[in-house]
Amino acid sequence: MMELEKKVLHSIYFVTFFLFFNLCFITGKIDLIPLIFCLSSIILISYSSFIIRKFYPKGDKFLFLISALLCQIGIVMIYRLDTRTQNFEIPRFALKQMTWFTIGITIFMIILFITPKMIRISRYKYLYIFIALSLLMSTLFIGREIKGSKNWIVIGSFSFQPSEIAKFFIILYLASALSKQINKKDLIETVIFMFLAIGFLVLEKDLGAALIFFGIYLVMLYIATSQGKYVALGLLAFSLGGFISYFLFSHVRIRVQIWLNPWKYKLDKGYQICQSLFAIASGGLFGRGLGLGYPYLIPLALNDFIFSAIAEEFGLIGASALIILYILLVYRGLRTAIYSKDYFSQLVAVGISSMLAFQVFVVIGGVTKMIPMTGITLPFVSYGGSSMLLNFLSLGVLYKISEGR
Amino acid sequence: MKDREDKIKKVIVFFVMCFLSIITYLIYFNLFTADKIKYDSSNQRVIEEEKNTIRGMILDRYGEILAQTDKKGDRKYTYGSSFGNITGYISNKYGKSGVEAYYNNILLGREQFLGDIVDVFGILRQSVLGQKKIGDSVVLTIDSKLQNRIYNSFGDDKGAAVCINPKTGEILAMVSKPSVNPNKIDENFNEYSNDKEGKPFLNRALQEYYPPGSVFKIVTAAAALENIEEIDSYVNSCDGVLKVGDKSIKDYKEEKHGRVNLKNAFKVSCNNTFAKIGLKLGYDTLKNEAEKFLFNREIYIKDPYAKIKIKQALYDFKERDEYSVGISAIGQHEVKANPMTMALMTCAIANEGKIMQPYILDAIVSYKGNIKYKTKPEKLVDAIDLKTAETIKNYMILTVKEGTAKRARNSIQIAAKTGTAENAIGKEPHSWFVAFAPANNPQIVVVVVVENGGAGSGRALDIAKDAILNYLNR
Repeated sequence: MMELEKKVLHSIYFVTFFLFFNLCFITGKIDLIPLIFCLSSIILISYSSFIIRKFYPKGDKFLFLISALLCQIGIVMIYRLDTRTQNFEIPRFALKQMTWFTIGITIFMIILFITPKMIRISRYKYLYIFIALSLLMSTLFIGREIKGSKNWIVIGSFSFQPSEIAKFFIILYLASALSKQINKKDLIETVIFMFLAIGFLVLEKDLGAALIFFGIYLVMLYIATSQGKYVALGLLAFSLGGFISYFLFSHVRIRVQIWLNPWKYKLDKGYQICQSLFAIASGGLFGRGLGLGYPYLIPLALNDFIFSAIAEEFGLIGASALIILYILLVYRGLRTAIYSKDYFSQLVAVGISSMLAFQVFVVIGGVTKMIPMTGITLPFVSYGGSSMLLNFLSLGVLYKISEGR
Repeated sequence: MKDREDKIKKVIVFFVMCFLSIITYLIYFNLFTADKIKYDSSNQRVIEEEKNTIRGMILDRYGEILAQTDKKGDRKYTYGSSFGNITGYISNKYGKSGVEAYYNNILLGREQFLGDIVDVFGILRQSVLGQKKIGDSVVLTIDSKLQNRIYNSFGDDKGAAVCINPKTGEILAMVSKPSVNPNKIDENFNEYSNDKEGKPFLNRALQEYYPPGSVFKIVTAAAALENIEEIDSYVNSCDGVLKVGDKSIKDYKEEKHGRVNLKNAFKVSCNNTFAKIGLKLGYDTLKNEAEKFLFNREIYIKDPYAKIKIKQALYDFKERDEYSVGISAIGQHEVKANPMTMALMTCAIANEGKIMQPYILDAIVSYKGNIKYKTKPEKLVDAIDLKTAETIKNYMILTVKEGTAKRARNSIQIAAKTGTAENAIGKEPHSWFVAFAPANNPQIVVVVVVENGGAGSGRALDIAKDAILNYLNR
C-alpha cells in the first residue's frame, strides 16, 4: 500500500513539473517564475503528505493526493490565463490561488489536529442549521450582486460566497438530524429547513447552489431512510418547484431559454456559453496544447468556465482525464463512508462526497451545455478563496472520518 | 449496516454514470457539433488565428505565384483581374471569395495532414519563439500563361472560356470577362457591385446560363447515332426553312443545304436536319441523352477539400409541342447551359466517351515545399460509348476541314463545333466555339463563348484557336 502511494505521489510530482515547465515557454521568452511555483507546490505536497503519513497514517491518503493534483491543474491554468493580462510581469491570480492552496492545506491540517471524535459534534444540529440559514439570509440584506447572482458578501477588499460555507453546515445539520432514530415529525422538520435554505438560494438567483443543496439532501435522505419513495417524492417536488419557478422568476426562464438555443442570444445573454462551446470545439481530441489556444477569450475563464479553458488546451483527452480524477475522488469519499465507524460520520462522508460530485456535475454539465448553465466553481480547480477553503475543510473532515475506521 | 453499504454502492454507481454521461456527451459534441460551430462569426478565435498566421500562397501548375502575402501582411495577386474569378479576393470588409474562400482552411494551415507529425518540432519551435504560423500553399491546375492569354484576347468583349485536359479533368484555364481586380477590392467594391451590365462578380464560366445553340447538336447527333437504327442511310433534304405548325425553324440566312446525311448536316450545322431528327427522337430521348452529358445534374469541381458548384445545365421544359422540341434539338428555346458543362460534354467526345471529374486543386504543399496532398484523376461518368464518340469526333474534324469552322484549320488537327445562340431580340447572338486538339490524341478541350459575338462564331473561334496553338506549340 505504501509503495503504491509513493508511486502516485511521484507521478503527481512529475505531472506538476511537466505542466509548470511547459508554462516557462508560453510567453515567447523564457520565464522562470513557473519553476518557483512548481518548487513550492512540490515542497508543500511532499511535506504535508509526509506529515499525514507520519501522524495520521490510517486515513485514506488518496483523498489528499487527488485533491492536490487537481489544485495543481487549476494553478497551471490560472497562470496560463494570467500571461494574457496587459503588461504581464507577475501572475497575479496564480499567486493568489497559490496562497489559497497553502491556506487550504493549513486548514486541512488544523482540522486533522483539532477535530474531536466525530460523534461528539453530532449534538448541535440546531446550531448548524441556524448558522447555515443566517449565512444564506445574510446575503439578502448585505449581499452584493456579482455575475447576476446576489450571493456575495464584500468586506473591504475581501469577498466571499456565504452559500459555500453554508453548504458545509447543512451537511452537518442533515447528518446530525438523520443519524438519530427518526419519526415523521423529524422528517418534516428537515423538509421545512431545507425548503427555507433552497428558497433563499432561488431568491438570490444562485440556482446552481440550490440544485446542489437539493441533491445532497436527496442522497442523504436515501441513505438514512432506506426508502426509495422519499427520493421519488423529492424528485416530484423538485420538478414541481422547477416548473413553478420557471413561470415565477424571469431569471430561471432566461437560463432555460439560453440552454435550449444559445445561438439565438450569442451576442448578449448567451455570450458566455457560446464562447465556452467555441473553446471546447476548437480543442478537439488532443487540444491546442498549453499556451497555444485562446482560452482567454472565454468570459470568466478563471472561475466558472475553467473547464472549457482546460478542454481547449488539453482537448477531449485532458478534459476526460480531469473528469476521471473527480470520479476517483468521489469514489474514495464514498468508500470512506462505507468503512466509517459510526452512522453520523457515514452520513457526513456521504454528504461531502455528494456535494463534490453534484458540484462537478452541475458546473461541467453547465459549461458544456449538457444542462442549463448555473454559475458555480469547479472544486479545487477554479480560482477562488472561499471555495478552496471550504473544499479543504470538507476534505479534512473526510480524511478524519477515513482515519476512524 | 449491510443495507446502508449497498445503498452507498448504488450512490457510487449513480455518480459514476453521471460523470461518464458527461464524457459521452463531450465525445458526441466533438464529433457532431464542434465542426458546425467552430467558424461561427462570433467566434473571435477565427480572427485571432488569421492575425497570427501567414496565409499560404496560391500557385499555378508550374509553381508560379498567383497570390502571396507580403511582409506588411497585405495579400498581393500577381495577375489581378485575369485571375479574379479563380483566386477570388480576401478583404476584412467584404470577406472572401474564390480559392481564398474554398481553401481557406488549407491556406491558414488548419487542415491536419498525416505528414505534419514529422514537423512537430518545427511547430513547437514556432510557438515557443512566438513566430507566426505559416499556412499551406495550394497548387492549382491552372496554366497561368494560357489563362492570361485567353483573358487578354477577349479584349473588351464579355464572355467566358474553359480549358480542360480531357484525359484527367484538370482545369487548365477558366476565364470570365469582365472580372474583378482582387488587389483593389476595397477601393472598387461598390463600383463592381453597381455594374449591372458587366456583373464582374459573376463567374460566367460556372454560374451563367447561355443557350448552347448549335453546340448542342453534339448531343442531338449522339442521340441519333444511338437511337435511330437506319441513321447510316438517313438523308434529309434541306430547303432552309422547316415549317412546324404555324412557326418555322430557319437555317442561317435561310441557306438551302440540299440533300444531306447526318455527317454533312453536322459539318454545315444544318438546323433543318437536326430539328427533324429531334422531332423523330422526341423529348424524352433528347432529355435522356442530354442527361448523359450532365444536363439536369448536380455537378461540382471537386476534391476532398472543396466542392465548387457548377450551375446546373437544363434540358427540362413544360411546353413540349413540336416546335419547342424541334428547336430544342438545335440548342435553342429552353435549353440552358454554361461553359463548364459544355466543356465536359466536349471532353466526352475527346476522351472516348468518358468524362473525368473536373478539378482545380492539383496539390497542397507546405511552406517548406513538401507535398502534403496530390489530387488523383477520377472518372466522373461514362457518357457515351467509344463508337459514338469516335463518329462524332470525325464529324468535328470534318467541321474544321470543310465545314463551318474552316478558319480553325491548322497544321495541328483541331476538332470543333461552332455555335450561334439567339438570345434577346435586336442584339447580336452569342457566339460559341467548342474544340479539342490534337484530334488524334487530345491534350486540351477549349470552350469559348463571346456574348453578342455575332453569328458564325467568329470571335469565339479566333480566341479558342489562339489558345490551342499557344498551349500546344510551347
